[in-house]
Amino acid sequence: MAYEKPRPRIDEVAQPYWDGAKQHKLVCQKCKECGGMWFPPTSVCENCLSPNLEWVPMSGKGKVWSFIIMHQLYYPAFASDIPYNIAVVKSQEGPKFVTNLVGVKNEDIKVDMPVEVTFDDVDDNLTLTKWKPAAG
Amino acid sequence: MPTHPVDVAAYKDKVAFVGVGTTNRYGTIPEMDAFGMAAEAFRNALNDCGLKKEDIDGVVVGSGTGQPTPYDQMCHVLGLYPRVMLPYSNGGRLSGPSVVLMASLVHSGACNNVAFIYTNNARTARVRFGGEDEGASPINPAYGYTSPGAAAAMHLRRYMAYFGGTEQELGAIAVAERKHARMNPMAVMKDRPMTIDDYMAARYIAAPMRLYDYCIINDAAIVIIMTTTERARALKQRPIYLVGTGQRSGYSHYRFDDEWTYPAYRNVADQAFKMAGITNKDVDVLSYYDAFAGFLPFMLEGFGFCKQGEALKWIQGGRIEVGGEMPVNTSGGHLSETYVQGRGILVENIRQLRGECGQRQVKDAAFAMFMGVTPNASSYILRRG
Repeated sequence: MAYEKPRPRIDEVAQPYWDGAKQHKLVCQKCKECGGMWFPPTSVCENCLSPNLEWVPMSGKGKVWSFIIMHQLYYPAFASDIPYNIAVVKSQEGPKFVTNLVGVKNEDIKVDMPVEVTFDDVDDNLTLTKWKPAAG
Repeated sequence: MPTHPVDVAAYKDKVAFVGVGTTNRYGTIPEMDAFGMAAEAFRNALNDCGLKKEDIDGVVVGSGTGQPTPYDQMCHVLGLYPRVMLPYSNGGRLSGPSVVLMASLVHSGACNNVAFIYTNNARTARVRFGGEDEGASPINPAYGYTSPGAAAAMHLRRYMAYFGGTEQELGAIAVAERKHARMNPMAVMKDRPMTIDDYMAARYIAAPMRLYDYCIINDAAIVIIMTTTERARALKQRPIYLVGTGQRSGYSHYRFDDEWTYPAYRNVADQAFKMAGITNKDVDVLSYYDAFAGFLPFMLEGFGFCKQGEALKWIQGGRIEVGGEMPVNTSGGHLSETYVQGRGILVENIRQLRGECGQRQVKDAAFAMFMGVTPNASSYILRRG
């Protein structure tokens, strides 16, 4: 069955992030001038305004910064998921990622619980980065 | 953060709100378009202050979230040919800054009498506030993350995990605002009593926030007129002076602030209190931008009404209700009176200081303060003339 949920809008700035996800690698932008890191992708370092950026591999480790449980139906394709979790994960390196947590019941999610990245190949053209409770 | 302080105290006491007008009712207004609603509010505002429409030489037209109301079309429909004619973006976060804009226009002499015209038929237009393409965030919809309320809930969850507090304690806000609405003949929810049990029994929207933590969506128009203090004294109503303002940008919905937005609110409060020459204790009527009840704890703490982490305890026991120590959103606010992106709250603050609020009147109200939400953290303080 075709994947019907909203797809990320992938422009040239964000393309390397989604290419990385497809290869099951979490990557993030880093400023070559000042070392700053941030997410979501942009064309300039928000700290020093340098356009001199690189994509670097991430540890894939982080903590749940916060989460909500969505009960309202906004996107029809999420109907069968309700109530579903939406989390913000703060990576070990600093940047925060909006995501869904997998491998954990909604009622067991806690702020600051350790998590690690995982990859959801939703179809041939898209892999979503998701996060799950850290092993061990 | 900017390092050079600014001195905006130049317009302190030099400008005043002199006229307010609203549509004759709030709610569903299908019989008028957004321009017709604006015209009704504009007539009422002119009658309120005694100015003629030809006296209005500054017009700022705020966009609502329903039918678009281009500023030039608005002026043509109302037959206005002012000196200053400006559009103003929608977004309730900009309601605090719009007060600064009005003050700047009349104090600078760019115009004599400025009207802010705001009209919104989001109810009739059936705006959903979630599930659309999120222009500013190309990624969030892929995770089902949408709606302004979800962002508020995200910050509130983390706050409660760190500082404690219960969902029932949060409910004191919606219950207080509903009590106020019950004393407000204009309030959309005037006939709908709500107890804390009703609040807890309502469904979640984005847990930890429930239905009644969210603003209502209704049709309404509001027009507010400001002029200089000299001109204000010749008009019909007791002038309500602008004595303090503050602005500071904070996090946007698409970033997540590790500092609870505290630095932005703290800085804004410092600016506004310093300019007004008063402290928290002098505030008689407190108001906040209540798209969501979940904003209030962050603001109360940043603005110094209680200590960091204590807001959910502080608001218990009727403290924020009319008759309590620090009444908050005495009209019923966006949660229970009317959704007009901050302008209804401004009307209420003006009317409280005029002493026009009947059953919900705060006795001897002399100072009213507004706390505006990030990313445009803002504040204004009004003084009874």
